[in-house]
Amino acid sequence: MIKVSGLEVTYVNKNTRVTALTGVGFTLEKGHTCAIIGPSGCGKSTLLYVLAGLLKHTRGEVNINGEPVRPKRRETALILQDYGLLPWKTALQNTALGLLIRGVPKKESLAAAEESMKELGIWEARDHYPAQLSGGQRQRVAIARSLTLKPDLFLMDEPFSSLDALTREGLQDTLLEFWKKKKSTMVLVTHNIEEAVFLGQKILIFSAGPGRILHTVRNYEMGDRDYRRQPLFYDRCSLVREIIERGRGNSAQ
Amino acid sequence: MHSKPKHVAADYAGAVILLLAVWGLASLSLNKPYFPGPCESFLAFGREMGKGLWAHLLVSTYRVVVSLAAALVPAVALGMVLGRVERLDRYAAPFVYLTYPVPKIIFLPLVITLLGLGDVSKIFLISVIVFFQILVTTRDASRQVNKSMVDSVLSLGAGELQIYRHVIFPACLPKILTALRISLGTAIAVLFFSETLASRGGAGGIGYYLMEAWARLEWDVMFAGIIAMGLMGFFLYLVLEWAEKKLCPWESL
Ligand SMILES: Nc1ncnc2c1ncn2[C@@H]1O[C@H](COP(=O)(O)OP(=O)(O)O)[C@@H](O)[C@H]1O
Ligand SMILES: [Mg+2]
Repeated sequence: MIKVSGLEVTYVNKNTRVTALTGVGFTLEKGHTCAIIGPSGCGKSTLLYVLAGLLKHTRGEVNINGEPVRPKRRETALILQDYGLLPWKTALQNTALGLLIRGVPKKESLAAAEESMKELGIWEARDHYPAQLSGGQRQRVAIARSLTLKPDLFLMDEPFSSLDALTREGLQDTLLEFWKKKKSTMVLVTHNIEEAVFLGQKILIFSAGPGRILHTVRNYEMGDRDYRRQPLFYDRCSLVREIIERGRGNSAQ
Repeated sequence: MHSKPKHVAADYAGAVILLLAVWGLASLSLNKPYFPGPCESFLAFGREMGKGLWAHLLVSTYRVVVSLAAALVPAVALGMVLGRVERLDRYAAPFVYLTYPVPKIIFLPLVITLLGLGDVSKIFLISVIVFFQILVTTRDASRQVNKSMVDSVLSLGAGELQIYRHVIFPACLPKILTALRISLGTAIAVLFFSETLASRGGAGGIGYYLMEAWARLEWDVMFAGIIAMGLMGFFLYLVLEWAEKKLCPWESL
């Protein structure tokens, strides 16, 4: 599904060049999930933008479903931490927006939006504006909007980081259920170790910028809500934490 | 800030009564023919409206509304683009910066010479002045539009026009309407000035009407004109405020 090799991304502004990612390579099979974790500024968002086709990479190859990445791939959905929703549209209008933009007639868009809002338990809040929704509800709307697009690739940039712990776990559970039901490929950027281990079959640990993959942790035992309470889960979290700290130590030298 | 409508109405009624009382007291204590009180003035207003003041009121309102509309459309369109496309703004900014602070009313004699004493010269001058006010506000609002909001809509597959329609325009709209309300004051002031200078016969507008009454020392008629102009400003202000509530419901949550 995703095949990245030798990826380098350099931002070029007037007088400055910032290399955000260098020598990044990984693969992710169809229907698998992958969590990306690393210090802030290491290029996680950059990688996601490249996968979403919103940012051109400088070097290397990025293939989605066997084709070079391109903008506006219909089956790719991107969910951002904040600002994913438009403040001037109600929850329902926000949910239907993806289909409307893709040229689906209004009536069908609204019907699809209704269906996915019901699936996520936010149909009651359909007439509320984002400012009237809780953080958790907002992310549910964002997820509902993605679902209307029937994506085969879900890209999420720290989607739950502004939520309190309980809401976050609720949404992680929701996401897990959806992944199991829809069998879509997921890439989740997070700075929360437990979240990475709960949701990622593969965990890519990035070094400080310019980001490289320090280590890939295989975590194929995930997939159950109860995983959070199993000893293996704790071990994995410790392992990830250790690798991150070691990486930090190296870059501090 | 948002008290109940009933209270608001009572507050406004109180303010109106107080203002009229101040006017009445000032008029009584001055006791001069050129400063009639509110009763006399409103009686004259009623009488004069029947006799032809309404035609002046209408033509002045028409000029203000057309000027605002003529300035609004290009200013908003250009402002949104300049705020979004940095490359264009770099060329346009010096022009805006140099011309914005120039009090364009100084070109009134030139404009009248070029465009004559009729509607066109007045509408042109008001439009130019208001154009800059709205342009600068819209451009600044458009610059501040959150980039992740644009990205999230881009990731839904939006084209450039859809970005303007779903993101940039609604993001700027509240500020555009505020700018319009401020511009309304400017527009009426410029209109008044140009009507006093540049109207002959017929429906010259309220500025013309006022100057004529002044010249004939018909003080109550002059005050009828003052009331007419005041009411016009007030009414247009109310319309804009109502439009803001209707068009931007998310602003007042
Ligand atoms: N538009 C940009 N122009 C220049 N540099 C940028 C831009 N966006 C991000 N960067 C830089 O690229 C690096 C990686 O950023 P980002 O991908 O946002 O990191 P992360 O999401 O891991 O926190 C940072 O050093 C950041 O300052
Ligand atoms: Mg980031």
